[in-house]
Amino acid sequence: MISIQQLINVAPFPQETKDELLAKCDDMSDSKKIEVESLCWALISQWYQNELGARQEKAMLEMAEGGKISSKEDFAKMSDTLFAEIVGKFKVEESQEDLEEVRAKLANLN
Amino acid sequence: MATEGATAVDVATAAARAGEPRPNATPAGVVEPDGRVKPARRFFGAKDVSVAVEPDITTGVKRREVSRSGSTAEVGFSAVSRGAMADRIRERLGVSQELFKDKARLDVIDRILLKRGEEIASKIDASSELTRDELALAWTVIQDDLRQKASAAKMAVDEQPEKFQKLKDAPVIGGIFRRYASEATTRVTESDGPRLTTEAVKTHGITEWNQDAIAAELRQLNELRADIEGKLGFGTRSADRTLPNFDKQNGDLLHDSVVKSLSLILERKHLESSLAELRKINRVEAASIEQQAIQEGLMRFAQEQAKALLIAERPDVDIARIQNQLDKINKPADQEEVDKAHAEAHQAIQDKNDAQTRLDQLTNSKESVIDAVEDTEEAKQEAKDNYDNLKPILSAEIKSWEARLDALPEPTADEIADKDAMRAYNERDATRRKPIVAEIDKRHLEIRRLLLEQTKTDYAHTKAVRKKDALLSADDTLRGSLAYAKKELTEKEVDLKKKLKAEEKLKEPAGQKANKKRGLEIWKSVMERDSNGVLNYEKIISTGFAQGGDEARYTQDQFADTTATGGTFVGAELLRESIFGVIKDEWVSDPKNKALIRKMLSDEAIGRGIVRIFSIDTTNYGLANLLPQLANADQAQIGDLTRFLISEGLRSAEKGDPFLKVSERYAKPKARIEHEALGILEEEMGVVKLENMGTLVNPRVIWEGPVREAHGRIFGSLIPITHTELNFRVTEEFNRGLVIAGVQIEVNEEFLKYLPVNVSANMPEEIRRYFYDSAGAVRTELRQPSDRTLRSLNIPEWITISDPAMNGGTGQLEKFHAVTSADMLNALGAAYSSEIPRKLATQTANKVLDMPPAERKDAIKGLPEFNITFAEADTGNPINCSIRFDNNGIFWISDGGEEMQLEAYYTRREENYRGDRQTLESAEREALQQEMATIQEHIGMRILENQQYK
Repeated sequence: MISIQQLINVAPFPQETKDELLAKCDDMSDSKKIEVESLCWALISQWYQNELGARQEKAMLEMAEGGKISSKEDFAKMSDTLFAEIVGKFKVEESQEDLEEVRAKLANLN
Repeated sequence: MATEGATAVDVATAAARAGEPRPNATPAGVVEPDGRVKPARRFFGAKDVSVAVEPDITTGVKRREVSRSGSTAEVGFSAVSRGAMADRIRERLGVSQELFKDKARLDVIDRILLKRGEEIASKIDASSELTRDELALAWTVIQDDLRQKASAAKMAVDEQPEKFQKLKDAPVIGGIFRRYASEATTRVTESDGPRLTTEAVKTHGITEWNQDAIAAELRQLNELRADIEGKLGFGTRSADRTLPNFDKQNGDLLHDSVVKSLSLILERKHLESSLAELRKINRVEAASIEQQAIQEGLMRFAQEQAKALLIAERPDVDIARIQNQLDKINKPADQEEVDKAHAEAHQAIQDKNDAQTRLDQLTNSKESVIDAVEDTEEAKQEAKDNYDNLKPILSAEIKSWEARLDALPEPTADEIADKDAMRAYNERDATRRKPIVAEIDKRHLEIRRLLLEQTKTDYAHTKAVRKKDALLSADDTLRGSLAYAKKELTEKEVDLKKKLKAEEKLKEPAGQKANKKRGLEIWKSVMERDSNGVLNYEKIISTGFAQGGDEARYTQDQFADTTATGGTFVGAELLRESIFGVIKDEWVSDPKNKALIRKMLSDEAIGRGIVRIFSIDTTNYGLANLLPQLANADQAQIGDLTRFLISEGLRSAEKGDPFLKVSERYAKPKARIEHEALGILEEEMGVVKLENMGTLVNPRVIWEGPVREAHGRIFGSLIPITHTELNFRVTEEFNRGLVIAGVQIEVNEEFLKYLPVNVSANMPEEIRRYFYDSAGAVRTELRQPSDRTLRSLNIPEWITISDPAMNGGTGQLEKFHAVTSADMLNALGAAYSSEIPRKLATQTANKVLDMPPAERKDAIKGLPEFNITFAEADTGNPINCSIRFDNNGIFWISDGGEEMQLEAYYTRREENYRGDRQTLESAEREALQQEMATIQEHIGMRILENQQYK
């Protein structure tokens, strides 16, 4: 189970915002926690998409300009690598359940 | 007919080729009679490019991966897709050629296309076997086209919209996703962000664009791009990555944030060129910068969203206090309680009056001893003057008489020899001496009388001073007593109000009580939980965020609706419903409750809330004017408004009043308590006008020009006075409903210079306290600049010379503005400034008249002739004079007779007054001096006025 603290740590907040949210999250109401979690997931997913899109576009530009040719595997690898990076940031135990949760949440936007 | 599995492009193109209208019914393409298609790019002003019609071939596709070496491989593109791709490449090639011909700057893609464009397009046309680099080029051309056109048209394309389905219910951000959750759409945005228009798009021209055409064009490009991406093995993304999944039109902060980041990064990297220019030089670098901007923008957006979430925490309201208020209402008041409240109110009136009397007595006793000192001072001075003036005269007369005594004839020798003759001589001598001696005695007596008078008045003055000293010797004690009396009075007044209110409350009719009770219960329920344990407040706020989506219960347009209904407006009713209806439907469906809620959250309260949240500079709280603001509001603002109204309503309920009255301190957004530095107020400076100078009747310093309308805790303006600089500022403090306004004057050299020597009756308390001693004279330490160290004397930099307080009821703030802008400064003029202009005028005249005429001429150029009126010292008759300042620097005066120089006029006036007498009485001299001073004051005022308006 991904905790709200993990989500806050991974979401693309500035450090001071993370600190503030972490300091206050214990006192938050349940509904507020849900709001924060939803915001974190939305932001993480958006970050993931932006990053993946950027890496793909860069590869396409290189190809169009006669540079490195990227294969399907290369593109798939980009996605896998980025996913692994995200998972690494969560510092989860890499249990199947956690990985599935992250994948499912990212897939919501993917 | 389209084959199963074909893309939208395939379908659209095939349909076009078959002579059928395209899906989406857009003018994306027009089928010519010969079966050729004119694509939609004509809407961009480009030359029509014909595409050869080929049979619809979508079968026989072999799927084989392209090798790393770039060898040809077969991938699954239909002929129509290939035709469309080739078409786009040729179109872009045509643009590149035109740019080349015009010697415009080309980007990398332009250069590649000029080199290999036709070759690649032909290959795509002819074969389904495409290398990945060729597909990448096609993708880049299409992506580029899509991005540039979308950006230049301020439109964006979303795809795979179902990805937002699961997020649409998320609070805060859910509203954003909800907009995209229904189907793939081309949305029109009205972004203020940079247009990333390139030379290519400029060459296309945008003048003929229309929304439907560009929407169809973008949709087609997007489908084509998605098709290529699918074949290459990666997902899709939004059309323009600088306008990702959020747009500004619907209040999206992310777009702004990204655009801001973009410009910051370009600035940080010292890139003067725009991103579009950078793309021409290095597309990879440009993409990297874009990516950085997007992620940085996302981070800023994340910060703002988190902040909004934290702020949106429930209001700091104690529900127990509302319950206490309810308990009070529930408890019936018995007659004994009513009587007690009445007695307490009556006693409070008495206490307040007593406090007022004590304060008046203290104030009067202080003033009376000060007056006594002034009066005896005058008498003492008069006695001294009389003695000083008359004693020499009397002594001279005594001497004169004594001389006459000495001059009496001595007896002759015959008379001395003859006894009878001698007796006769003595008798004659005695008769001659007697009146002379009597005269001498009379004068000695007069001298003694004068001396006695002086002693008596001196004693009386000393006695008065002692009395005053006794009262003021412990000046702090007196001030303390006065302060205590004032404080006591204020406390009693507050207490009286409370008691009267308590009495009124107990006498409240049952109907009113019932309404109040119901209102408090409704407010209390805002902070209660529903049967599922969800806090009602959270539900209300979530409803606020629901606006704008397809399932929205309320929209901005609905809130902005000014259609009249039941004495209010549809929009206002919906706002109330969005708060209270969420808790319990019956509270807005039941007519009685509805009427009550209209009072709890009145139109005026909503109006004031809108004025505050939307920072509207108005005092008009009419909802007909204010509700339309909500049509363009973003979600955050609507949320702010809702939270503001709820938290204010709850606070009011805590105090027992369910009917929210948004305080006047919110009338203008700038009225929040903030400190503003004086330095920024220069533009607010007005000019000072010295009024009534001509007649010298109540000369006043009045303000001309703007006085700030918005009020910080302290603000001030400098009032420059020609010749000197006395600095005034107006201060305000807001303490709940009470506004304390003050006028302060800066303690600077100029201020000290013009302090009157003696305290005057109208002088403000703080000036008396800091600058005058117990005898009412300017403190000796302040008389000489060398002796003056203001800090060591504990004199503040600014001192208050006027500080009225007023209750913040309806209209008080406006009244206050009026007071500060005019009345208060007039009051200042009446109280203190009358001292200043007179002093200034006399000193100015003295200074000018002491100058040599040549210097004077330069100092006061252009002073026009003027008339003055004054009372003649000896007769009291009014005299009209005209005064003229000539080109040689000489003042001339005429009272109807001969015009003469000022000095000569003064001499003549003295001669006329004295008549045949040798000298004037002291009182006469003083009166004459006053007459001359009046003339000089007039002259001084005129000089000041003349300088002021230059």
